[in-house]
Amino acid sequence: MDLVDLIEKRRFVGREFLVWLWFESELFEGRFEAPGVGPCEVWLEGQITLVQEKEQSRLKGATPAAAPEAHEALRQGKLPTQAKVRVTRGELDYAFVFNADALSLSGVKIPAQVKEESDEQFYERMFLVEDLEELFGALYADFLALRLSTAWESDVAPAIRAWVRGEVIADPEALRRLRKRVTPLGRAPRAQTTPPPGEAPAAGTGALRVA
Amino acid sequence: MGALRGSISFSKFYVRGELPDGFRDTFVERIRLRAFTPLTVEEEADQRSGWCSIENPLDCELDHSKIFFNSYMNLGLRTDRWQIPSPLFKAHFGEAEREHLAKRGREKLGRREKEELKVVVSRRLRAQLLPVMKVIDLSWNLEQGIVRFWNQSPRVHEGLAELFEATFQLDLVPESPYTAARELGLSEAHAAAFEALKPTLFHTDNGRNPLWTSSI
Repeated sequence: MDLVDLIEKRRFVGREFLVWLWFESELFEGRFEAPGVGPCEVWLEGQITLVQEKEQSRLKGATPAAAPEAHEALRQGKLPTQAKVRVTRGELDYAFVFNADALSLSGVKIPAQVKEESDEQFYERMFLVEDLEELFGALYADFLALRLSTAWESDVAPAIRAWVRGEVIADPEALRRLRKRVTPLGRAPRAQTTPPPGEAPAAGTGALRVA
Repeated sequence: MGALRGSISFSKFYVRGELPDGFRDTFVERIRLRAFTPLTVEEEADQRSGWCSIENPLDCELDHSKIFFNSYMNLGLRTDRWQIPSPLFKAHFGEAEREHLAKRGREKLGRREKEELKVVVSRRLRAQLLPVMKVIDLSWNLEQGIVRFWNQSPRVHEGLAELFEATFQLDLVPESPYTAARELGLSEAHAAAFEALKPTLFHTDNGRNPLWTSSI
């Protein structure tokens, strides 16, 4: 497959990333902890567009992702292609429209700038844009590590399906514990022998429960 | 709207290829070769693109100080286009056609005559108008090999890729779920797993874990 084909045929991964962000944001009340960038908050707010082939649901409001219509659209098989996202890390607060198919950000609102000189303003703007991209990239890496692991099919996808059906995840922390067993991206898998005492059970054991 | 001020809506590209030794001097020379030059009334072209200063689109005399901002290269991609409003063109063409036919005592123009008259009328109108100017900011982080381009139209991206490649002899690869994954430095196993991915169905019970099912 050439590069153009790979780009076109893997666009669905961006939509799955947005579903995962939405799911985790609801489950953990916006709290994320991406490796390398520390704790942050991520919320879907303002607008969300869900699509299945030619059918489209476009929802607006303070928290449209929390509306019953948004979950109903998921149950019908629609996936989000675009959503307004708010990300907060420490005192830095960003908002932007995330386009899942292109993995692009538009209408980015960056924290208030303090520099006055034109050149300095440019460097400050780029610093903030790159900071946001690094943070969002870390979240994507966190998602991909899960998506490419066996834990996706055994635990994560079933949990998301349960959430889509409107069931309550009884033990959300099991999802967090699951992360520790997933190989981060860009590193060779460690040789597995006997797990150290106290480590969480292996993936696929039904560690996540719905009530 | 742009890199220096205003709304932040850009498309991201990864630059493929190595920067040549002494690239700053080389790039300034190459950018000058493809700097924007204004359209003239006499020429046939109805549109032209080229590089300009990011701070002033009328400034196309580019040098180091206007291009390099520490580790960033900033440019404006300026495109000028003759845009004659259709009703204006039709009215002037109608008038020219009537004059032409009356002068020759004929009732209808031949196909070739019509084309020639269109060119004459276009030139006459161009002389009274200014081309429409569009400028899009581009900021290239030279250390990271990332270009941010303040436009999200695929058609405009094609024009950018062409001019960028002609100027710098480097390729641009657009951001996407695939290219972002590749940039994360996937191991061989992860890269193979990524290329084999199939979409997940979230609205059905396909692939449900039996243990999971029993817990409901």
